[in-house]
Amino acid sequence: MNMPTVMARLRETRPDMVLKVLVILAAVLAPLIVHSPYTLRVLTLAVEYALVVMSYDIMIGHLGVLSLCQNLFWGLGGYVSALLVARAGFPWLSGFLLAGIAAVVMAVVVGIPALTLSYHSFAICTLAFSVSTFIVVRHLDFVGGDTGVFGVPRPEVFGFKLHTSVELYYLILAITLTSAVIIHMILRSRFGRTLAAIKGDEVLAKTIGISPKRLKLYGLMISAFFAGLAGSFHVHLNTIATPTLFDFQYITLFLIMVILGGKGSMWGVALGAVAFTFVPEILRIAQIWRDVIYGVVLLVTIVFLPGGLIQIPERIRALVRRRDATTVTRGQV
Amino acid sequence: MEYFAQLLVNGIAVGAVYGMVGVGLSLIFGILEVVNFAQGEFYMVGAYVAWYVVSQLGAPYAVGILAAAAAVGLLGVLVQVVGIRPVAERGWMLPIVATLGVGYVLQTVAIATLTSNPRTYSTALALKSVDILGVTVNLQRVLVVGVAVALFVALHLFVQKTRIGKAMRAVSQNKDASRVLGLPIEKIGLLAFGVSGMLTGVAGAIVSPIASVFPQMGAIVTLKAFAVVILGGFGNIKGAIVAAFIIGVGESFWAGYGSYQYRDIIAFLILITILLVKPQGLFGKKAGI
Repeated sequence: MNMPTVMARLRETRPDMVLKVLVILAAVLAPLIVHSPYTLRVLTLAVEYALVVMSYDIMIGHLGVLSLCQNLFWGLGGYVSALLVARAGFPWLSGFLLAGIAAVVMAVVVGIPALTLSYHSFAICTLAFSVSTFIVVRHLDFVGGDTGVFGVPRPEVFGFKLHTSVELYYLILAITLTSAVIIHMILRSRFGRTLAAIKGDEVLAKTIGISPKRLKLYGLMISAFFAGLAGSFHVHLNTIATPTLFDFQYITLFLIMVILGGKGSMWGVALGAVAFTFVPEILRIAQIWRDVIYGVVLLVTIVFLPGGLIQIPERIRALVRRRDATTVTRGQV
Repeated sequence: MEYFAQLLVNGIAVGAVYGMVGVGLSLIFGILEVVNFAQGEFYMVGAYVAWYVVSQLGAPYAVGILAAAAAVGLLGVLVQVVGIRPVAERGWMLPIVATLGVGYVLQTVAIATLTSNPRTYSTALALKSVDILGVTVNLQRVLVVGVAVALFVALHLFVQKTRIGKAMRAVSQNKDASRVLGLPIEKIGLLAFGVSGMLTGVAGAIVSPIASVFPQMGAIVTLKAFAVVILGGFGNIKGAIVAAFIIGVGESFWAGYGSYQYRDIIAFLILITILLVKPQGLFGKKAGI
């Protein structure tokens, strides 16, 4: 590659890269700027949700499959970690990893039957698994019924007990960034490109010897693994695992973050996670009307930014271009 | 035996309600291929309208039912225009997310304006029961079944006999051909949402005197309606009606003989089983609406 092309490439990618580096830098430095423990807590949740939706987007954005059970993997991870660490005395790290593995097992249980279906049927089947689990967990005394598992200890990493909000924030930031790099590498690999082939044309993919069903199952397993890890963090953050993790509201929340952030783009869905974790907090001033306004914001975003928040710069550029174009025409006349 | 009959009667009443909501859901899916996650919230709005008109305004109960039908029918049309139509051409996922958003807005508006406190009221029928061979039958439940059956018959006549009804069937069977023939697909989509809203609104209104009315009452009904639609076959209205009674009665027996705690799970077990064994539903799609 000769020098001018490299320079041209650099010039092309620079604004994007700079922005991305700045975002990561801002995330790393956030606790130095944000002193309110409350805001830091919201930020911690936002980073955790970013991990959930980045894994969820493997299904929605990269495979083009609407699964509605991401909270099942997330909640299961949470419960497994809570039970192992709080009840059975496992160290945090093993609880954390086993949470991911349990979620993978669940992905196989759900995926093998559900993936015989497609489109709406698959969506509703996965939803049925999630809702059934919610009902079962609420009535199982073994996992604490409606009260759940409480007294979950804070994470202890190699002998260091993390309990301040800054420490917990850095823990989830490290988990999410590492996972993001791994997910990115998976999606860039041969395997990831095969997923893209399935999304592009399932029939064609079949003719060249790709089994869409099997690959979708692998996709679901990977997706579940990271959701399980996030779920583990969630219960150690809150020191409690409750059945509400399996509640329908979280399916909606994660789906909205993916779709309205910008499915198919890791940065997009992460942006969605941060935006839709903060919006309800900002709207607190509206008191009882908060949720209504939040809902209206969602609907307006769906209608006017169907590609998600990540589309905003593109939209602005298009608007500017159109204005330029009109000026030119006017000039010519 | 009496216990059995009692469970059967209760199950039929429950099935009638699921049927109305399920048929509404199936109608929208048949015409627009949109799974409406706000269907349960339509039901909730219908229940609130009837409660308000009857217990707050003091109107007769029949007026409450008609008001619910009109209000939720209009709501359906509005939802289609504001929420679904703008994203209809943006793939099949976005309309689903839009209906989730609509459901959320309806639920939160109900919480903000009417609080989460459950509302109850009663009608003359709801307070009366008759004894038939040792089975106690509440007259409101009889009304529920009667109204449901009447609406199913009316809907059947509408789609079989009227021109616009036939057009609806055509669209549900083949959208492209219908477009080529110049059928007003947009209008038919609106009509589907309107009729679906009316049916579901009436369902909420006739249940409200024997159930408590609260903002989240629709959530579980949406999920039950999914089970109905899957069991009956996507977009198949007659299938949905049969499926609704199967699920209603099944649920009643499960609660009576099996586990009351897990009464809600049976619909989802049926749903998962049928999807895996016979994904086209009991009757398949071929019957259409």
